Amino acid sequence: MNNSQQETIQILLEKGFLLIQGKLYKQATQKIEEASRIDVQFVRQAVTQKFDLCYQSDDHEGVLALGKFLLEKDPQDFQLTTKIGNAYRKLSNSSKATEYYQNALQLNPSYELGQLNLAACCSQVDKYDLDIQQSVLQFKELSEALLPTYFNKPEPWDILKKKIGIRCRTRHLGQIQLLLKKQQQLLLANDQERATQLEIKIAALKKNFGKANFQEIRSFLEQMAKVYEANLTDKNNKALWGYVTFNLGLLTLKYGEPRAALSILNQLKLGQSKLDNLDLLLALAKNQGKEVEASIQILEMELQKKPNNRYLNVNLGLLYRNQNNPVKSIQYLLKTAELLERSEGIYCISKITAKASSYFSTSLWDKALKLYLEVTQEKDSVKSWSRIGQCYMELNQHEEAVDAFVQIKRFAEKSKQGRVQLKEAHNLYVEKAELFKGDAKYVEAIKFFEYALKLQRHPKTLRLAAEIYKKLKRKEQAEAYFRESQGLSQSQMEGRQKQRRRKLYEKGLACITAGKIGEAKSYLEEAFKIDETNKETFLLLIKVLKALKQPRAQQLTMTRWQQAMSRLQKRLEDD
Amino acid sequence: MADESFGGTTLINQKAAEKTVHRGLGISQKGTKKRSKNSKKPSNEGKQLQSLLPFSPQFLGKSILYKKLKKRQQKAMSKLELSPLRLDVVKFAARQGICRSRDKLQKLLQEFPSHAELHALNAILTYTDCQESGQDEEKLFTLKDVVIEMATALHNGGDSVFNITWFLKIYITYLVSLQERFKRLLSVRPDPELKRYQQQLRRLSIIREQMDLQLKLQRMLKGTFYFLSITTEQELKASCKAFLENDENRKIGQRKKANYILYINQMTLFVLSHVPIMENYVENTLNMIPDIHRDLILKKRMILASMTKMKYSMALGKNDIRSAREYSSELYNFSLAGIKEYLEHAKLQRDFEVGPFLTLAWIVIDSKLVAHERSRYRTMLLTAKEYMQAITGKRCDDEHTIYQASQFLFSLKGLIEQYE
Repeated sequence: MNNSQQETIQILLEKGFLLIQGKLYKQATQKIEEASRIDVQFVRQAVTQKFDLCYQSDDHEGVLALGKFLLEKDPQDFQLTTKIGNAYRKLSNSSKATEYYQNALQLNPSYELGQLNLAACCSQVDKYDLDIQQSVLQFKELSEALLPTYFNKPEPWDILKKKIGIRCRTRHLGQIQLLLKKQQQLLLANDQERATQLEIKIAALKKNFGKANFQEIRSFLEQMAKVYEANLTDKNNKALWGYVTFNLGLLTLKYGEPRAALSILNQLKLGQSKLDNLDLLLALAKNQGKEVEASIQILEMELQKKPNNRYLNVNLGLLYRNQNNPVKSIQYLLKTAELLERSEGIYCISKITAKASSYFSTSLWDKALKLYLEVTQEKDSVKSWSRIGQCYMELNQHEEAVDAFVQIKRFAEKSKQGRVQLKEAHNLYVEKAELFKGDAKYVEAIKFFEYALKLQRHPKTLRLAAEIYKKLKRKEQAEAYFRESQGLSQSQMEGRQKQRRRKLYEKGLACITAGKIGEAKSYLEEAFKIDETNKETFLLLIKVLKALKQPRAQQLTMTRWQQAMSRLQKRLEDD
Repeated sequence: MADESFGGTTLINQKAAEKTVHRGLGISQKGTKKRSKNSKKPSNEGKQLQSLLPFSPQFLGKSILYKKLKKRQQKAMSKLELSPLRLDVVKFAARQGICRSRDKLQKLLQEFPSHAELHALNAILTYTDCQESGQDEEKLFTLKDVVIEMATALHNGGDSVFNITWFLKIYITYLVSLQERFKRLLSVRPDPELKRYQQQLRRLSIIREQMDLQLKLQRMLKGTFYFLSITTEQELKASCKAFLENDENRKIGQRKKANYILYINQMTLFVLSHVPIMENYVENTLNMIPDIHRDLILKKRMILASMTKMKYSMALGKNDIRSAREYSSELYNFSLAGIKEYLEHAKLQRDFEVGPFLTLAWIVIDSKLVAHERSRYRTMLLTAKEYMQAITGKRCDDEHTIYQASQFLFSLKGLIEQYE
């Protein structure tokens, strides 16, 4: 390469790199290509340096442009291919990223960074290279499956174990006394050897004094399950049977009896139980019973339904690790690591809820919020969403708070608990709005009234909001709210009247059945007064009056009914 | 006295400005007589109104650039202290007193006929006079002249935020008056051509929405140095260079910062891209920005796209389907080229990055009635669908954009079914 060529290359590269700086990648590549036609080796060297700079400074598009140029010159470079994959992933193009990672692994199947990044890409975790390795390191010691925790139902597991322990204590005491007697006899008979053996047995019994062993707990649970099983038609009983059987299955699995566990859990499954982690246990039982493929299949299916379940992810990761599938293993373990990072290392959703609740009660709103949000990722509950709303309120993030409360509407608007929570939140916002109103801060006040109205369309709130709009000279909005308030009040009043009439009518009907016709008449007359157009009340009242032989009252009632009906008809026509 | 001083004003090198000054006088003093001499018969009113339509830069006249000044004049001009004059005019415009500086302004205009700032102030003054006069017949013609004088001032280096805001205010008033005149005329004599003009005028009213942007900018800059200052080509280029070198806070000149210069420039040009008579101004200013950084190019392209949108909209208003089809194709190709050239792999975060995608989808959906060839239109629909999916997918994080894109996607799917 002569001097003038070198100069041309320098100029072209400078231009190209300046274009990279200006994010004009296509034009930059053209300049670089042009330079490489003069001396490809020299240009490759320079571009590699620039590529590294781009990679370090997170210029992902720059990495793509330069990386592709370099890859064209050396298509076997699996490290470069992986880096291009990373750039694609950082640009949220996971399909292209996967394509590049797979290419890298085709070139070198044991390339660890390729495996790690492909796994991270599949699990959609935003981690790269050695960070991924660091994240999954926590599972290194975990060789066997990670079992879920026992249900603390019908009573907390620890208390249950203590209870069984108390029973064991009496038995252990009897056994020790018996052994001691035998030992004394042996000592009297000068059989020192057997006496020592008994001494060891007594020491062992003393050591585990009052502690229940697997068989003892198992038989206790089996007895409990039998008691509940006797009456499965009772809903409550059935639920308790479910918890006990689940715990029994889990216990047997823990003590390495997969067949027994499988039969217990299948029984539960046949009983149409929808307990959390039941399928996980089934899969793990199958895995212990060497049915690995079936186990993986169940876990993958469950993960489709609950992608954020920590137990499912970790166990699938561990299963794949035992299957020597590093990519899949890292994929699920990395996902677990990410989920655990968000839940302070806690696996069990009920424990996450408990932790969140403890933060909440100590006013650590940020921490509580974070954990409650995690809980809702897996399970919707009125309490969690309500607490999320309250946390946001405490953090003065009212828009988010309202959004959280609105979530309750999505799945529990009609439940009593849902209604109560929404009402409470609504009232809180109204209170705040009233405070602002008192200080003549109308803009703030209307903001809070609007928050309240997003949760419940209460006529009184609408009226109050309308008044504020009036003060803010937003007449149209004020009028609309007044109208809505009136409409709602009217329909609420009508609803209440309807309910009252229905009650009176039913009382009247009950009196008729009891033969108290006179009493029935007074109830029915009252019901008729509430709604003179109601055919049901009218007909029953006429019957009663007929039975009481009161033709004048009968005639009068008929006239009232006719008049009411014609009034109704006229009103309908007018409308 | 005032009459004499106004009447005696002659602007040596700017005929349009000369006319304005006379018309300004006419309105405030003897306008009715002058106009009545020139006014045509009522039957010709339609044709007369056509000349008032601000549909292209030709509205401003052939030569809109002021005569170049000698160095001595330039020096004297730069020493002019206009603040008291401006304050007086603004107060008068805000109905906070009478204007005491009329004579001074006219004298200065005689002395410095190429001073854009003086012309801008004169335009504001005439506009305020015009607003106070009740002579409708004359008002429209005077307003036209005021629009021309102000626009010309902007073309000649008077393009401060203050002046641009006033220009828009005047322009909007002019549009409203013009629309009213057409409405009145059409109620007496329904004419399809006039109706079409009216439709086009309605399309121009989009500037009212853009005015909010300009007012926001004005509120932001009021009281700062940037409000009245004018950005030179050198400053603009230096700002672009600073942008390229990732040093947006770099000081340009003595008091300005690169990021402010670029922001103001982009905002005002975007607003003015909705004003067809300012087309040349916008294009010329855009040409000053060098194509050294993708973000700058994309911002430029966003403004250019907005201009084409305006032309498309005007063609539709005119019921000129052929032109509308051409403009829609132009806009489609322009957006597509922008995406392919600059945004193939980019994350879509900022408005100028998302802009080409949304514009492409919008024009495809909106141009369904302009009779594109069926197979070509189907290709356009499928392309737009693909790009909207890119936005609703993972490439964009902005919720508002994703919502907009999903709405477009819904419409596109419906249209694709129709064109199956």
